[in-house]
Amino acid sequence: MGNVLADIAFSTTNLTKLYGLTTALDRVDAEAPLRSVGLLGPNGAGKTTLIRILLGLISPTSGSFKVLGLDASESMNEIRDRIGYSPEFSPMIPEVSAMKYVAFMGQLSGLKSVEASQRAHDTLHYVGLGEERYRPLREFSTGMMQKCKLAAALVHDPDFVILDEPTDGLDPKGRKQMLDLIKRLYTEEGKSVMVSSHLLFDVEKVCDYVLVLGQGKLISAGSISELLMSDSDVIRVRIKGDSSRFAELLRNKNLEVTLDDGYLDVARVDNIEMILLEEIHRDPNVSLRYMGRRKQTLEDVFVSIVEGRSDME
Amino acid sequence: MSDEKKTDDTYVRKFGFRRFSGVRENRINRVITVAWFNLIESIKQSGLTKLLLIFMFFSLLIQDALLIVLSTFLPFGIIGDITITELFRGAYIDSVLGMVSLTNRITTPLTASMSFFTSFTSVTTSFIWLLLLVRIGGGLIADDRLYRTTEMYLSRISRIEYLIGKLGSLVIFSCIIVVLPALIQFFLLGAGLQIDLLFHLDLLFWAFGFTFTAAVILSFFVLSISSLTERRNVATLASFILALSLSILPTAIGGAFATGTAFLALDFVGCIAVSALVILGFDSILVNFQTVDLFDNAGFEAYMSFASTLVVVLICGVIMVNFMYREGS
Repeated sequence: MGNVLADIAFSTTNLTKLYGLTTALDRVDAEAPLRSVGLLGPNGAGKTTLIRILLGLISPTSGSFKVLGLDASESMNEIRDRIGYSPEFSPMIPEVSAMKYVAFMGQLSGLKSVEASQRAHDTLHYVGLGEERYRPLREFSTGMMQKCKLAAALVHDPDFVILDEPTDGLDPKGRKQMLDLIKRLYTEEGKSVMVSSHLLFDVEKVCDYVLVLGQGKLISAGSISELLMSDSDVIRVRIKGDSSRFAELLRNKNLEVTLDDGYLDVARVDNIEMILLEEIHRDPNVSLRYMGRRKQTLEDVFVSIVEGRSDME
Repeated sequence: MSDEKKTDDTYVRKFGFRRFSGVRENRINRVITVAWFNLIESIKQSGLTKLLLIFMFFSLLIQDALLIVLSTFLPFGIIGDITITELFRGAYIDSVLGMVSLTNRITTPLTASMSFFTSFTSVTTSFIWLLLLVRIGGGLIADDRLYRTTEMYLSRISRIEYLIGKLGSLVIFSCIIVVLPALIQFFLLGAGLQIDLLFHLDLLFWAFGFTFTAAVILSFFVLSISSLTERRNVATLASFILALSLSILPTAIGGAFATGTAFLALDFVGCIAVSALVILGFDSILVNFQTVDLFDNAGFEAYMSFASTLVVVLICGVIMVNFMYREGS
């Protein structure tokens, strides 16, 4: 939970947002480092509300927040200039070309007309829309629109880029391109990125830090590598021989075993490695091929966090 | 293929992403950007708007030319006992008022004797202006709501900047097609009648103040209707019908009940014109060529024109505030 980096993308203190009687955010104290951050949570968890508050689109009912070290109550305009935002939906002005749209967004963020046009050209090239930049937005496919939104989010050179469902509606190729772009933004351009997505695989691929929200509360936060390591209580074994029979044998020893694509996943108990080695050695019909800690995916971690929490269902 | 990719990569690396090290524009320039962008795009997108603009141009041309030709060639005997100064002031005021009053023709008693001729002027100007305003303004907020661009604006500029920018679109437009022609008309008419304009500069300032105020109020009205719906056509039609029917209602109701002129207060567009005349010092006006005393404590009174305009502005203000601060708008 603690943050090892001095630079903070944003921090919230007791952030609460009520929509009538519905609590969208409930006293959230969160901190996100200037890294590539994933914002996770089931539907209704408060992800979009948090993003909208950070952008100044809505005001919190109570609590305060800072973005890039700037207090929102004093410097919202400056914060807006330093954030790039690509929303989940596709906002557009149908008859306007991508070039004009992105340049206009740049001008709204304070770029001069000529500078905005130059940067719009460059940014559209950067996201891979160089050839299509003069086509009207109404002709854009979902994938092109996602790239155009990313270009609009980047045109004014923000320090912190917020991407809400950036791969939504993309085909596998488009999704890979988009994820590569996001990764480049972070690794090569030095942008701090926050990706809100339902697709945990995407977050795992491009983010190194996650915030998990549930029912308006912060459930968990930390670097992905720590999260994947910390809860790895399953030993993965591959044997030569009858896996099903050997799994049954282990169950008879009161071990929790599941079969997964030829692997045996055994829940950790004291001295589990020794117990497994003894059983394999004792059985002449099996021999060991692999034994190690099962690598978790972010999905496993997410499910384990959510599991058993009534407030997340 | 690989060469192409390499070239493209090089280009991207060289020009693809640069740090921005310049100075950002101030907030006012951003508001002007919103106003100008929306205005230009609204005009570009609509063929009808372009056609109406051409009509407007000829309407203004005819309006100016007609006044000058009439005043130059008509023998004064026909238009009654009227001095050249009265003719200039009366004709100019009527012409400028006509740009705003819709079906109820609001004019000054100065040119009562030549009302037939002056009624020709600005007959179409106010109508086309309203048509253009609703055509351009109808989609200003409705389209943003439909295509969800409001959020993109508000993630970059504040709500009040957004609102002023949108309002600015219509005000700039009105300034070009109404305020500017009104000012040009002052000089054309003065030159046509060979009047020393220095003695009538008060009219120039009045014309500017009146047309500009009318432009802001009407723009605000159209914009507030636009914020009520996601459909541009609904907003356009609703704004037009509302403004027009409010102008027709007083005559219709007044005629039906054969009572006084108090119903004129319903015509808020006309009330802007009436207020302008009161500010200019007139205590009676001509409405559809009938004299209405504004200070006789009977029927339509001067305060009603101000109150009517104020009520509409307040209602529009409430609609806009509701839109701007509604959660999730």
